[in-house]
Amino acid sequence: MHASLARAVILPATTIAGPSEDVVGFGGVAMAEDGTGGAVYLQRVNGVAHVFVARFLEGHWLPPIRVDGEESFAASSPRIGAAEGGRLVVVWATPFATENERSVDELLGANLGPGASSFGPATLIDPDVRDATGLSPDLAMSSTGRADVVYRVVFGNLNAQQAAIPLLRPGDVIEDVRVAHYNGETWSRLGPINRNSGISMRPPTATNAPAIAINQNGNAVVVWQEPDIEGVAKIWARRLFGSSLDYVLPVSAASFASTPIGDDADAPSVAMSKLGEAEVAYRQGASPGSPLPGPRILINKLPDGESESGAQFAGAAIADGAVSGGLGASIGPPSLDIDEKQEIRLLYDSNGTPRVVNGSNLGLASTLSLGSPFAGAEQLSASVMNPYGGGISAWPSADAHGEGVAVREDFPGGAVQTALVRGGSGGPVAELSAGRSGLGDGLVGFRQGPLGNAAIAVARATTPPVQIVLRVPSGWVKPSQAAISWQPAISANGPLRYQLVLDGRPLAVPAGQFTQRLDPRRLGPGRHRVQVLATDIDGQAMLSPASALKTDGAPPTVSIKRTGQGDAVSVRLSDSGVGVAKRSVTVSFGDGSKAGGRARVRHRYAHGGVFQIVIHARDKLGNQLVTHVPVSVR
Amino acid sequence: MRRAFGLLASCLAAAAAILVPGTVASADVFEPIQLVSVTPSEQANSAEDAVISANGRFLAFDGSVAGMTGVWRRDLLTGAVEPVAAADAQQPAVDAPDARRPSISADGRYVSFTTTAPLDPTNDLNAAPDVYVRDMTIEAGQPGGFTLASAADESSQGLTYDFGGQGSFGRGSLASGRSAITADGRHVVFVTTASSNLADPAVADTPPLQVAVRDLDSERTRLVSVQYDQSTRQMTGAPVPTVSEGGITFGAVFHAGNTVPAYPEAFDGASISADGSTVAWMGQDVGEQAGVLQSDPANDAQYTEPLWRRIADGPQAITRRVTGGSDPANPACPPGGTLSQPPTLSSPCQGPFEPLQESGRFGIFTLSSFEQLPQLSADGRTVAFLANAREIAGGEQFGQAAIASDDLYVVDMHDGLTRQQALRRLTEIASANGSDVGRVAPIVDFGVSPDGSEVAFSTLRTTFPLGSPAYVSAVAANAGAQELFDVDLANDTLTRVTQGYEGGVSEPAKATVSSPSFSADGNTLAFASTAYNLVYGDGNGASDAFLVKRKQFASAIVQQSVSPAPGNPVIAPDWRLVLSARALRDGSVLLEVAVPGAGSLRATASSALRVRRSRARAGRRGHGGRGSSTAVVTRQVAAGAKAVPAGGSGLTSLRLLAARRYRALAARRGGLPSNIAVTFTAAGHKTLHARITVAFVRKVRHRAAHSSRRGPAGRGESR
Repeated sequence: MHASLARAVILPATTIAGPSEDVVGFGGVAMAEDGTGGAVYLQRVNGVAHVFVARFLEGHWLPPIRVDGEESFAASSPRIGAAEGGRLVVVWATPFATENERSVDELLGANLGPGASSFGPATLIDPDVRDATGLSPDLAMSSTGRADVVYRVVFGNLNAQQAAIPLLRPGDVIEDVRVAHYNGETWSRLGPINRNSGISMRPPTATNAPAIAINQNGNAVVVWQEPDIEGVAKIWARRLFGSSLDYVLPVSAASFASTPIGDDADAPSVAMSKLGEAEVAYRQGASPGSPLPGPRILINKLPDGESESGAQFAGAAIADGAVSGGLGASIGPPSLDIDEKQEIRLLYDSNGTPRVVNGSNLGLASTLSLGSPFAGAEQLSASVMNPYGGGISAWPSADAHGEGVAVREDFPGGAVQTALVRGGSGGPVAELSAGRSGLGDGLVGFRQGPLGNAAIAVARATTPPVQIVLRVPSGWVKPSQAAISWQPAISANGPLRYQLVLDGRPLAVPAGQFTQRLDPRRLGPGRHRVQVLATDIDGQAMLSPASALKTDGAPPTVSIKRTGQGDAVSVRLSDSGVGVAKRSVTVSFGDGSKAGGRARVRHRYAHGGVFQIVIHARDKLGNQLVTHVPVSVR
Repeated sequence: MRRAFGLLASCLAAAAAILVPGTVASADVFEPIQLVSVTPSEQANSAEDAVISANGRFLAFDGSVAGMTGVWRRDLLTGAVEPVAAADAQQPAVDAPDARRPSISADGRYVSFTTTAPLDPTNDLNAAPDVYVRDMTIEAGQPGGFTLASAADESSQGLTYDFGGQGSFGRGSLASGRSAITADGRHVVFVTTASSNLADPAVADTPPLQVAVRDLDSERTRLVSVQYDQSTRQMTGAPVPTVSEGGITFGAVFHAGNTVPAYPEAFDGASISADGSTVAWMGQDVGEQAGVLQSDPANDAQYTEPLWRRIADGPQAITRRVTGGSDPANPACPPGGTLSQPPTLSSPCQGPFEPLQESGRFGIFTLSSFEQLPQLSADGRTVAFLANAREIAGGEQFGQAAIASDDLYVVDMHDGLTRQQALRRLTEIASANGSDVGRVAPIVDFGVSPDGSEVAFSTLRTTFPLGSPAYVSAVAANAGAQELFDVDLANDTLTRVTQGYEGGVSEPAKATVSSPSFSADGNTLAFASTAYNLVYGDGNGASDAFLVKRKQFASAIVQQSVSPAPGNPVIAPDWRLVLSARALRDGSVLLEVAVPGAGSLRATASSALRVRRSRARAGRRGHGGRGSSTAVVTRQVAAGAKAVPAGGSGLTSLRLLAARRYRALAARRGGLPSNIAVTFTAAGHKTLHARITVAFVRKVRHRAAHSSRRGPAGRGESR
């Protein structure tokens, strides 16, 4: 018997580093299916930025540990991925050489195994990512410990071949979009994945960075921005089957209402379901002459690779038609998530209003304007789903006390909880990131405070334990034999406390015990409701559905009536629980007569008088009755 | 090729910070730059040589305000700008249009400067440049307003200079800007540029280029640049002689030209620490002033090297070499020790540098166009200086590009350190291409914070390859103008301080930055710059004085708001009774009842009893013996009640004891079978009923062997 749906609760942000002038960057948060995870950030040590990770285990933040312990040079662009059991993978860039008097960086990775307290040595992912300008890596990790990272390599010192590439737009750059795959032990470079290395790319920004998503099978979908032959920046995608690359697929719409779209698309966001379906959202720009009424968020679906339609995207559609402002509308980058039921949730900044778009495999279902408006310089938002319904939305906002991060939790049952969280000493919010488990828990991390006094803060949206499996005796048992057992519930916020709930009354269970014998005094004959209440460290409780427990510790009861003219008796045995074992019944009527083998016997006395009836009987569990009852007959 | 980054400390065991309300943290991040060479009504025409008082209240600078040149002081609190010593056609007695190079006391009251104007006409009887101290609490022209600092020992009379019958030609005494006065304003260091009566008030035969300190209160003037006897290793007390070689005059103090500079030519003089304990200068003829090896290149009169003397230790305090090409003071360097060629740091006599010879000059510092004066921390123990000689430990191999470019160093002058141990490099060029100014441009000017933890410098350079200190700012897009940088020695970081107010580089391309100085806490930095885009509205097209403050961050507990969470599952006991009973050997029955809450529990036990009746009562058809009959009737044999309080475990017990008249029946075989009816009442709830069958059984001792310890048990439940 599985537990009923979980609810979630937002907890205030925890400042895991700073505020300090040494906190110089945030690389995001990650959460595995089991609710373990971590946050990665840059903190200067003796003036040099290094990579630190704060791990999240059993609902607690552990003290940060340095990841690039062997590296002397400044780290940049850290990212983190999480897998079950507390496994973490971190990637970052660091300089290792100079070439033509410019720095040459390498992309490194390190992993932390289950139960380990420190990261292993750094391993080389890519020996040359130029000076790491615009690197913007995106790391995705499956619950089984596989990972993929996509990143850009912008070429500063161009070789002759690169220098011959014409720039499609002023400011364009020559760049690779590269992918590397981690099979749980080693990294392998898959090389450049962009469609056409012979055309220039838009200058790297935070909002045109590539993105990647991975599912539990270790298959991934990568999306990136790249101009088409007309010079218009489009969104493209490729599947990754482990370390094998599939072909390039166009994602963004080429036209709208039969009119070509001539404006750039950017800000791709990708999510992937367990079954392999991918959803991609992106921002489509619009300028005078555009067939679109203004900039919009569009969404496109790539069915799973096994399906007949899995060879191409289904077609981009406007995610939210209710956008005011025409061409001057201010649209932020979308943040997209998908659950195992292939329901989607998309969050973005629509003219300063956080808007959520919900949908399913059948299409977009509803849009909703959330609470407090965006505030601050960044339009970044983060949205993750609760696999049991609803999800977590986060965006920079403000109240009378200044800037912070608005967090909204939509619960499966429709309830809502909201929060405005802050870290450090407050101040501007940047580098917002969110991660979620398979249990509905989520982490919302961000950097807060001005450069020189920045802090890394992470808020949690937690869920109570889920998936309690109860074992209750299937048939009738004596109360003394009523032992209940259950499997430990899954929770990111352990250790858990358990209580057995018998007929609605909670009964204490010693810590660490998953079997409990019930007090027989509480078990009258009949059916009882048994449940397990699991409570996490945050005080959130989840009550399992009721299981029926049938107990009987009472012997049969006897009822004697005089019948006939008062010269006969009827002895009736009954049992409110398991029932009378009829063969065990013997009745001595006191006049030398006996009867038995039935639950109801009659006897007519030959003469009047007072007789002592002695009855022996058992129920089907062996609860025995021996009673002497005087009767008076005529 | 791996970069030659410096060593870094091992990892930091960082833990989550705990916020402490009310504390203030400083960071290597700066507020917007302020233009401070302004009066309440107008911008100064120009401002150079800016210096801030240690208390951060006052700023002195030289330049032109409202068309009048001289030295000025601005009250940064009120904005008032006052002349310290400036052109004043209305008052010839205080007219000092050539007053320059101010230094300021910690509280801003005293300002030293150099001028040819006889502001103390009673004691200043020549037309030569002299050093004065202005007391800003006394009106100019009033007694005590100006005090002549370049005065003869034990006299208020100014020094007498011997110009060899050629007139002064601008030579006399000069004080450095920023670092010539102590924190209390009562001691001033100056350098003579003419022969004078410095060593002997009676005769003006002391050679020029001497360093002296004037105590304004005691009117003592002490010669600092005295000769060192290499044989006795003691100071002789005699002034360092000058030497002419190839038409160049060399003395105790380095000067850039061939001849001793004439005021107002640039000449840096000497530095005195804020506590007055220490004096430093860029020395020449080092072999006459400090310990050298026999075969030391420092014996050459043109050899240039920063020198340091702790005058607080008395007249016998020796002059020490701050750094150099040799280190004879190293205890491991034996008497008669020599330098090896090529130089190697394994030699205990080797200094940190390989002295170079360039353009006829020789030493650690050979260029002349940039700041040459060592700067001191307030206690004199930290010395910053520029050098373009090759630092041996750095392994620098940039050839002419390095020779043409000065780099910045600091030295710890505490006792017990060899010169190699004491030295720390703060900058390094990054290219052998001399035209790549972003990588090889020299450090131009610099200043040390009073506590020695910060060093500010200016340069065109944009690339700083040393990992220690680590450059933590954005690299300027282009190397077009000098920018100001700050080294935080404690944090080991290097930060760019200046930028255009719109976020770009300073402009115009040839803009200069000079004269950085710190307040005592190191959080306020003053400097001069010819850039016109550091602040909006800088329209004079000339050098200005600026101020920039380190950002202060007050830690505060941030407020977070979270709306109420959905409640946990509501658990309410089923409204039912669970009843069990067992007979006790004393003849009673113990009822154990699981109740759903608070209420009243009541139990009655009824039994079928055999009773004997009289025949009259029994009726005509009665049974039994003669005169009486036996009948079976139901009687209540026991009862009990109990109040159940709230908050319990839900389990309660109630003991029923058969009424006295029936107790004997419990001792019979089979006991006294009873039906027990239990009711539970609670306000607002329906009354619960339960029944159970149990026998009152009293165990008789002699029959105990045949009885179980417990009597027959029963359980019942309400329905």
